[in-house]
Amino acid sequence: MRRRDLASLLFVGLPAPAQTVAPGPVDDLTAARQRVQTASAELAKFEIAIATEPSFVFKAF
Amino acid sequence: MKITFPEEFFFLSISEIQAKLRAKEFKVKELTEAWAKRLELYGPKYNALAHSLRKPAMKAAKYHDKDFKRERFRSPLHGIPYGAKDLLSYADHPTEWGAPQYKGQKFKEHAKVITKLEGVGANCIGKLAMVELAGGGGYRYPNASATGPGLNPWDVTRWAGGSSSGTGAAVAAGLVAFGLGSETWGSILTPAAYCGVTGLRPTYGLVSRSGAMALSWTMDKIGPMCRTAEDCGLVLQVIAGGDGDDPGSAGKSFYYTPQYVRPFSEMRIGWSPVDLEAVTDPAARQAFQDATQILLKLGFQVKEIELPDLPYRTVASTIIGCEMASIFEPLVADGRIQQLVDKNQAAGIVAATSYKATDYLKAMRVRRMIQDAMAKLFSDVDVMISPSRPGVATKIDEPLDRGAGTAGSSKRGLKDLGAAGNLAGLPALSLPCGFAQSLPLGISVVSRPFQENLLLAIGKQYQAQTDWHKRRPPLPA
Repeated sequence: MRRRDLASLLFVGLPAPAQTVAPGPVDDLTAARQRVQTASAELAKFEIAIATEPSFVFKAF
Repeated sequence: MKITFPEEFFFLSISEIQAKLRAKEFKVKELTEAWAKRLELYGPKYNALAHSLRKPAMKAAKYHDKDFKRERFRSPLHGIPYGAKDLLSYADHPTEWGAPQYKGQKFKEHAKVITKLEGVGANCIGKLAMVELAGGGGYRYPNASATGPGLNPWDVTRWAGGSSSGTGAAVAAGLVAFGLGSETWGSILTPAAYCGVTGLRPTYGLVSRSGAMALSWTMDKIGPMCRTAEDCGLVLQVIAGGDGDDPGSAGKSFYYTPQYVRPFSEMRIGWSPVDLEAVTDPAARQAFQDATQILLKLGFQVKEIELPDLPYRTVASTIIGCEMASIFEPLVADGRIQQLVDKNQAAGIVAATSYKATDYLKAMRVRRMIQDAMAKLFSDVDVMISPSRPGVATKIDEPLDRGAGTAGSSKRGLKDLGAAGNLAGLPALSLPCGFAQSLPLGISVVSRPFQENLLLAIGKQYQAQTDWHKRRPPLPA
């Protein structure tokens, strides 16, 4: 970004863009592992009654 | 005199073909040969054929002709040519699960469903292509298959849907009279909707999975994909039933008797306008609106409903991920997983091995809550309807993990009915319901467990008032 563009952004009250480098594309395995971690975290924070048992012998409801 | 079948013949229903067989208009041998040739000729143009079974089918046809000569009719499926997803074993012939790692794999026995169909005289003419390993690892592109991307007969630049891609395309193009698919999460309803055929996902445990590749023991189901709801009923009647070889078997049979369901006027149908508002393509939205109106006017009492706020997708993907990781652990351990065509899917299966036991158990506990929530919803309504997919088939070079067809909405409606229905083991019927961009659309009807006759009765009524299921795609060049 040129200094003039940055100055005009600041002049109209907009924040300056972050100076960090945009992250590159993550590889498939890293992305898949992140999805597993996200799912794990979402399940962990989901509140459930202690007495709720898993469906060990699964039957349609 | 050599018989030639006109093009429209290949789009007749099972009952219509059976009537002609019994009237001796042609022999089973002639029927089988014509259909097997057609499958061999056009199947590869859609990447729909995994392996032709013309030889064993022709051999069986001779015996069936002897039966017909003596008027020993075994069933409405006697002599009818069909195709089976390559996830089902066919004795001494390749069963490759769509994956390069399993090239040349053979089993000694038929899958139970194929044995049952053979028992009533149905004739398997080919194994139909599928997404590799039924796609549980999460594939990025439709070409995630050893046979290439499943091409849609309505437009070969579009996907046939997955993972039962070959079954959807083959039924739509009249390459088989009916087909068998399987669904863990969307693999029957998606190709049925994208290809414009009628697909039935049976209740979990109604159809034996013995001899089928396992992706997720607690979610896998096998079901028919046909031209009409009635055809689905005729096929389900044969393939359903208890089986000691399948630990998930419910031990129940199914008799196709849609005439005995309660009058629709005594029942309630549940739907959500949010599902239609979320469809971005105006032509698709209009088609879904029209289909919904026809279904609502079948005589049902109508109620607007929505799914309770529960993490359906996370629970479904965790359960499938954990079970799949255990099933395909040997492939991960020896590195063969990297031979999969779709690298995103290989990465998904490898990553799934890092789920914790507590993740699986928590998902199965939340699943119980989901089952309870669905049971509660079904105390208010008898069936639910929702688009099978929110739009038409995606382009074959379009990434599938981008999500398309719906506008982001905070309202829930029934948009997670696919995940919820599979988690609760509920049956669903996808019916062709119109076109957008010259591509077919499907609407799903979902019921309580083991209420397939109700779904099929609704499907039959709907198809008596519409002709979307009779449309056929152009022949390939």
